[in-house]
Amino acid sequence: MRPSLVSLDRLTRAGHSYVGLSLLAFLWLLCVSGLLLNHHWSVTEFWESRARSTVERAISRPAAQDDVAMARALMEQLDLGGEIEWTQTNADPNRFVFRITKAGQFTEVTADLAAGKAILKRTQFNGWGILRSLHTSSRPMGQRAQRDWWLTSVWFVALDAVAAGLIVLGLSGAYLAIRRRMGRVTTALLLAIGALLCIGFLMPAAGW
Amino acid sequence: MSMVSGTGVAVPQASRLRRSVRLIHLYAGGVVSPLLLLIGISAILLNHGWKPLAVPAQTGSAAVTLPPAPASMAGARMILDSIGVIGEIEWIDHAPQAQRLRIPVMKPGVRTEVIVDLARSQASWTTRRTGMADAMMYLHKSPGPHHASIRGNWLPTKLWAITSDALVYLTLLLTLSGLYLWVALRSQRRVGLVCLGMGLATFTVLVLALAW
Repeated sequence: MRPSLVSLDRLTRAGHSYVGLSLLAFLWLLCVSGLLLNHHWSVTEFWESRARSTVERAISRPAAQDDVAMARALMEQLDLGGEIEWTQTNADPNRFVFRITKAGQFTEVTADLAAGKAILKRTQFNGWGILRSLHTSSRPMGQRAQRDWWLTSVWFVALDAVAAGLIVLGLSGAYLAIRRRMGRVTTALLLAIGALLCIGFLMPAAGW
Repeated sequence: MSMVSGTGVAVPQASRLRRSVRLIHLYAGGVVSPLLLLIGISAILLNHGWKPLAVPAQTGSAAVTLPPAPASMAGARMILDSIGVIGEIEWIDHAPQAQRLRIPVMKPGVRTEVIVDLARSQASWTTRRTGMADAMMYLHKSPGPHHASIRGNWLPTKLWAITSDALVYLTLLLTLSGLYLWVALRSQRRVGLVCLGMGLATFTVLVLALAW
């Protein structure tokens, strides 16, 4: 075997292991939450067992006029973190409603700007609900098509890295499997089955 | 402990186990690799909110013979069969006052919306080809948590649900077998430990911060 191929094999093997190890926890989370999203096992129920609480807090009218800027200012006053899912336009200029989401919880804030108070209605899901929302929470949520909380932005980068890692693992795994002498025919056959499955399921997109 | 192989050479039991785990990792990885590529690419598309390109829609209309219960799954399927529309019925919208049925139908990369005028026994449909990227995103999200009671009403969707479950279980098997193989491999232990630790720490901090 040529020395360049030997060193490429070694490099690929090491890269495959290190990428896999780095992503291990993320992969477990995404595997389990993926199963939860596809199945409705009663033991993983989260909606019926959600906890709800309502509190009233004092606020001062924000200087901002823009709805998102106003929501951000109120979140700062109320010490709330999360992504602004939506804001509600109201006929009464003293009433301002918006919703903030985090992994496994959302808070609806109804602000009475004239009275200087806000009612916070918080809904908290159990661990199963948190798992499900972690699988989907990198996507922009609700009516707003952008992320505005730095933590969801970081999570989004992490999930992008996991997706890129999956591609690296898939490609390097296929390369290593083909380069290996042990069980080469069976592995090639299994690779072909996997590829045919992908092609088969994507066939309608190609117009076949 | 060691065992004697066919060639008469003593093979330690640990190395036999390692060999078996390596084969399992190899075979499971072989079948899973192409599917992992599909999931990885579609995850990036989903994360970045990729939208299908605007493509011209194909429309059609035809008279249909209405089945006894047109708003049921069986009834909707009979209507679709009669106009030659195939795919997964996403849901059925029945507006009794307007005497109208709306049936969105999905195939990977093809979206069809069928409107049935129940008063005139007339069906009209609009088909959009949304392309390969949208097909991958559809498969990534399928079967998904929505309309679970009717999901898998088209055979390929049912088969994909089985495939995606198998993909998850095989990926879990791959992570466990990979972990075992790494532990057995001394040369990669130190760097691997750093990678594992960094990954775990990043994951823990992020999840705690997001859910706190």
